Amino acid sequence: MSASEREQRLQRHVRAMGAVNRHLQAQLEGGGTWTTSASTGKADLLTSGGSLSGAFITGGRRVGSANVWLEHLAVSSEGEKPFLVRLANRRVFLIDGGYRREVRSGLLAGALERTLGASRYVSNDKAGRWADGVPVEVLEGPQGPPFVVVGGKRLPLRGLPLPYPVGTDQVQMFPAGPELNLAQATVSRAQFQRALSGRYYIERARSAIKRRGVVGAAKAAASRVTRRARRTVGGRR
Amino acid sequence: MTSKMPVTVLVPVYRGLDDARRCLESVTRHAATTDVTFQVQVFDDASPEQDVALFLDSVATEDAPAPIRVVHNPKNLGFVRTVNLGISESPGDVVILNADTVVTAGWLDRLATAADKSEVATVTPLTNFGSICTLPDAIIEAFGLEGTDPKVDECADFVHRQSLRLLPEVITGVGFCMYITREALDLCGPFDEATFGLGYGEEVDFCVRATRIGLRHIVEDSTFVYHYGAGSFGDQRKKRLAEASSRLHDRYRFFRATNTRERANDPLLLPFTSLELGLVERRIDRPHVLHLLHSPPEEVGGTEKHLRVLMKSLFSEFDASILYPVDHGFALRTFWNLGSDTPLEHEYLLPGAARRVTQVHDQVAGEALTTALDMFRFDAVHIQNLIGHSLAPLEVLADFPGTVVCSVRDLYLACPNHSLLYRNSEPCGVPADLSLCERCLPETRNLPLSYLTDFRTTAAARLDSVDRWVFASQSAADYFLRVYDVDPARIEIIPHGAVIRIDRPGRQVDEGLIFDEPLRLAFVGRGWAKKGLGVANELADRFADTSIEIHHFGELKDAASPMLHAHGLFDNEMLPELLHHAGIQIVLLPGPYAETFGHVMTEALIAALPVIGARYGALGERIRATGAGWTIDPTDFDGIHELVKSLDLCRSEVLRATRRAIEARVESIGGTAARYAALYQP
Repeated sequence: MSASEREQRLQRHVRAMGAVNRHLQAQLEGGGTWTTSASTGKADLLTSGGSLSGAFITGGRRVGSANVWLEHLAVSSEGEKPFLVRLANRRVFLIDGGYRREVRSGLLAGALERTLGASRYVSNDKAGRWADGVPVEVLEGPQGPPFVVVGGKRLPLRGLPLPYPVGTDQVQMFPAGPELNLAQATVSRAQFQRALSGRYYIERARSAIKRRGVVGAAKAAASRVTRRARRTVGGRR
Repeated sequence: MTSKMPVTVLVPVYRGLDDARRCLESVTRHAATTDVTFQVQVFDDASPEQDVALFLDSVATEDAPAPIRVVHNPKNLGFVRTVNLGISESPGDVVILNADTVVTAGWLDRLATAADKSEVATVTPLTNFGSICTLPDAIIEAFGLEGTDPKVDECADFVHRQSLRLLPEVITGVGFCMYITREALDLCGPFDEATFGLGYGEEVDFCVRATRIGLRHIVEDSTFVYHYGAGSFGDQRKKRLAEASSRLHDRYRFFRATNTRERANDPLLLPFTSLELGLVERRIDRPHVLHLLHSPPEEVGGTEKHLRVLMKSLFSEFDASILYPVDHGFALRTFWNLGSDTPLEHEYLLPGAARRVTQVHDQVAGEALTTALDMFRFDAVHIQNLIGHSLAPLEVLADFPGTVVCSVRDLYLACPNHSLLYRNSEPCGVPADLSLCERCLPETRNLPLSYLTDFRTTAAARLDSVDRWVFASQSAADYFLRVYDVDPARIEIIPHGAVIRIDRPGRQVDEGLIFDEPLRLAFVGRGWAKKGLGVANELADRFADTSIEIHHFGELKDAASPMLHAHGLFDNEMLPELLHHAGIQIVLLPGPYAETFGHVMTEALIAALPVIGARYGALGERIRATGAGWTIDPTDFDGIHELVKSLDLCRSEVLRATRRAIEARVESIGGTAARYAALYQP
């Protein structure tokens, strides 16, 4: 084999490894393992008793992580009633049993707010007082609805669309369209509602105090009130 | 070779004249180019088809290089007994070759070479019908191997050229064409005809026995032998397979589990993937550009969209690939023109580590780029964004023979806090006084000042790796030059093309809107402090009791004034129409962040609307150059308030700026593509 051929072979080797990595990663992300193709030639009837040709083995996804989480959740459910907090960078955490558990999914954060109340804003310093706990993720048992564990209880989830595993060929029957971002869809609406609430004025006041000092901010507020009162009495221009 | 004795190719024949004819013809055809000394022993197992016996007699020959000896069994012995008969009469290695196969060039030499490796019991080639050795469907389809006119020799040539020659080890060989070493035969004895005499399972039993004494079974992954398949035993095949499976299970309880595990961790995955990739080889006569990006190309950001359109615009001239960080390292995505309208997009996941690159020089990022450059031949590298790559690419690219282009889209190279906002609130303008950075960086990026100095020193030492620096505005270049000493001849100013369509109808002055309606300003973009939500809030509050309206288009990240008319998220492509629909006369871009270009300003100009923007950075530069708007100091609320009040009272000024906005030249990304194409040339 010439040097050029060797180089080309190495290139092919690296490409194949890159493609196999992608394939394995897709399996991890997809939560299953594809065994070899079910085409006639590949069929392996000698193992017919346990043939897995072309089968999709589910249940492999993140099992390791979930086991660790469950052990942690089982021993960390003591303490005050769980509540949600929100940091300046918009990350949402569930404070549960003295731990801060990140709620990565906006969809989930919205659902939890309905049960636990709106998230409270906390500074980074304050959030640092709680130790990192396991994230709030959706779990699913062999039967029954999927659930999240909050305050040592299993909260079943309703209305959560669950993916059904399908094969690559079936996926490719449909061309890709625009992305549907469930998290964004929920969070932006909630934020919009919050933006129209009284919290806006608190943040405005904080900002004014930072900019003008307490006295300056008070003066500005007083003058605004006076202006309004005068306008109310005198009618609109 | 394991034996210097000639290799014996055993071909048992029972039925199927055409199959036998094709098989023996292929063996004879390739004999002349075979180096291994071999002989062919054909067994007519008392075939009920008269033609078969006659044909076999006609092919018998003593002539080299492929002497063919034909043995007529007086009665039907069955496949396994016939093979054992052949084995017992063979002096050296044997190949058991099914009569419904077609061998290809170099087949026997390569099988024998593989068998010559230490402790090998069997060698099996790849095929179109042969259990784990079956080629992927894509290759079977590409060469029509399941059709009436299979391209056998072409497929063999393809497999030979594209193979990685990894010789993967398997738990058992496959019987359609199995090379067995004399060593294995001597140590394990022949097939177990007492148990598997009816056929199926005998080769598995043999292989397991060989494995138990420490011998190996390998697949010759550069050799293809065609197999018609499933011809033996006709309708009884399934039944016999099931019986053989049951017998194997009784004898070797571990075998099913071992076989299942092998199927799940397919030892041929890598060789087969390489072959599949061989089907979609790039046309090497086309120039190939590698883009470095900070996120997957399908993300929604402006840079990603710009790159997508740029690649599409240059699709006829250039192939492209994109290297970007992902959760588990780095991915390489192809965007190649293989002759159809649709690009070939294939993603490779390169070995790596966690995504967050926080070091000045991240070794994993460097290795990922090196791997990418090793995988394919590239003629140019275009750094679109170094975030997520660290400065490692600049070192790797020092030895790159092609052109290296770096687009400075944000000022990450000047400061890791690339918004250049001191403590995320005021523009810092890249201060010479580093004590400011010493206060800002720990707060904004959790980094010490030493990181910045180390970062800049490292970057400065590697600037020569880049042949052409591309800025979208002169102001961005000016900021960059405050930190680095770059030869002006290597700097190109290429304004970004619009990421939305520029050919909009109705780009004309609407005097009724300008003179007769309330003044409406639109704050467009993400609703947070960096983009100037504070200014928009302040204006909305101050103008609450006047006819002036402040609107917001975009996602709200921070609290907004109830006086702000919030329209929410929008599709960029529809922005001009949305602005017109809301009766907007002016676009307000009050962010303190020094923009390097300002895509929203482009979109405002496409909508024929003037802009209010920061006096510094690209917005100031563009507003002054076009006259399509007014510049402000984003921290001067009173000044902005006065400006808006004045514009409300002086609508003719709004008319003037609107006219300038209409006159301003806006280019599409496609329009700028030619300039990039010129840069990619060596």
